[in-house]
Amino acid sequence: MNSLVLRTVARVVAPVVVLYGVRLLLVGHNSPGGGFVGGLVTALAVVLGWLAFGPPPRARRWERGVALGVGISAVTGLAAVLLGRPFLTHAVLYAGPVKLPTSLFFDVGVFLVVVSATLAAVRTLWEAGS
Amino acid sequence: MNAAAAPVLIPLLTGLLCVALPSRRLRWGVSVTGGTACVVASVWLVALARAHTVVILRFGNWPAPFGIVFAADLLGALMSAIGSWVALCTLLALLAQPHPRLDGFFHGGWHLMLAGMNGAFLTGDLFNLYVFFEVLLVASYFLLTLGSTRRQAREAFTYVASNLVASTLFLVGVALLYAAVGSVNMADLSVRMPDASPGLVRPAVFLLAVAFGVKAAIFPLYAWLPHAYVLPPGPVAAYFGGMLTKVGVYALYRLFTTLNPLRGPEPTLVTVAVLTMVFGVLGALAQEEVRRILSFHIISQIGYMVFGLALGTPQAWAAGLFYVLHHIGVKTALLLVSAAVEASYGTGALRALSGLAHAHPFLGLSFAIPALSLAGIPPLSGFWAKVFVVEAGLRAGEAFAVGASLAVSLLTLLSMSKIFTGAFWGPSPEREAIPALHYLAIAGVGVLTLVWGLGGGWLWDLTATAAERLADPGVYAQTVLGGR
Repeated sequence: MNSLVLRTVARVVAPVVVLYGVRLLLVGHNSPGGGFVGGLVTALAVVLGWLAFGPPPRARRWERGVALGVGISAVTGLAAVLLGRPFLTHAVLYAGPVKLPTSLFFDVGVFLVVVSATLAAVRTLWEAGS
Repeated sequence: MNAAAAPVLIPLLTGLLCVALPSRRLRWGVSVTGGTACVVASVWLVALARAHTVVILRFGNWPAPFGIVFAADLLGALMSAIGSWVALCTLLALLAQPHPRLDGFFHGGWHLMLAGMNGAFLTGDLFNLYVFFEVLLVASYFLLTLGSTRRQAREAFTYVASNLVASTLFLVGVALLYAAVGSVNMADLSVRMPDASPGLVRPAVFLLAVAFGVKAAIFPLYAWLPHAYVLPPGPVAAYFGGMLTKVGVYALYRLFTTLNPLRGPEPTLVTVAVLTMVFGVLGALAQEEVRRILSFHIISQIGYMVFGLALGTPQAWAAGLFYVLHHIGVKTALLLVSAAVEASYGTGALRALSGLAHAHPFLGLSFAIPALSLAGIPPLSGFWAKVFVVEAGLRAGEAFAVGASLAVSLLTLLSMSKIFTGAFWGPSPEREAIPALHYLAIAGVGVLTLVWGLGGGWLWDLTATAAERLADPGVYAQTVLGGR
């Protein structure tokens, strides 16, 4: 799709959407949000960019992003097992004045999975359609 | 205890690692190691569940019914152990004769399906059961279309469509139960359902039974099954044929023991069970291909398992559970034999095959033993399974259903001998090699029927204990909801 309007709008909107996606990821611990919805929003921004400027020339191995993401999430859950607690038990760490819940790391993993899986799916459909 | 989640986490992580690894050999190494580890973990869980009644894991340390729990009782742990074993054996068969169009991601699908199955067996939360059903279905859609031919895509469509409908009914059923009781924790449900409004609970139980019935392929909901099992690579069909429908059977057992316990024979279910037996075996008689015959027999055998459940006594549940375990071993072995034939001779059509028993005496033997067991010939496990079910049926006064089940087992023998005369007797063919590893895989599941037939007392003790505990859901509920 070659449209000046879309390109101009995407240049402004996509970064804002990415920021909003990341914000959803960060506040997910105790407000509406989280890795899943944050990942979806971020992936949407990337797809908007693809629509406006064309997708990257080669298909990337998005599947590895899925593996990495689930790996991160699993490790945060297994850390609790090593400490003799039930799987997925979380704690709040303090980095100076900053509250750092370990569930954030879990959410980062989910975020990676959702972004990679969505982009892999969109990319596959894109190639099938063209 | 974290042990309850090990049979889910191990395959999940194994699958992921396999997707991320670059070399084919490494992937196979990790895949087989992970499969073995999962077997060890789930057998250990059986021992734990036997000793402690219910092994509970409260995820994130949230108490039930607020958090999600895994509650591995003997029923769930036994299913998870046999499922892990089947997954490992069929994986070995695939290693022995790799499918030409297999790509690197299938390990991920294989282990994801195992994780989904084990999760469904072990979870103590109805909505979580739905989630694990979906996990296993997504993985099965992927495995079913492995090789991506146009025909596979078309046949898989029936399977995907019927499962989507079933999942939707399942979800509506869960929603209705939540509306009636205000909980999706199974232990909590079992305590509070008797007091809830029957106007909501009854349709909910019906919807759940239909949803699980589609997955278990009971009459009249089995139309998807013969389509699904014919086209994927042989070992995939063996994996599916062994386990996929049994997840549905497990869910039916859970529904009619823990959640909404039957007290005595349930006429509708008995009728459905008999019709499932009869229609399955009649469908099998009409087929001319090894794998198709075996697929229809799955349906017929599901009837016996549901019959055990429908009788509504602990003794009948134990018999049904014994039947499930016996059938998983036997059916997987038979489908692996058919996979070996198809991989080496390029066809499973009875017309095109003959004299396999001459060319491969051991293959003939490893078909004959499970085939006879399927028909219920002593001293194999199938004989005992039928004896237990028949005895329970007679005690409950269901003489007609018992008679039908005996007639069905004669017809089973007939169609097994059809395969044997068609494919295994006759003039010897030009001999093609069958790898030793494939034999090992067949023996791994096939030997179960011998072991359980000749010395299956301990398995009967296990299933009887599991059934007695199912008959007393109060203990289950107390352990799950009670203190730490």
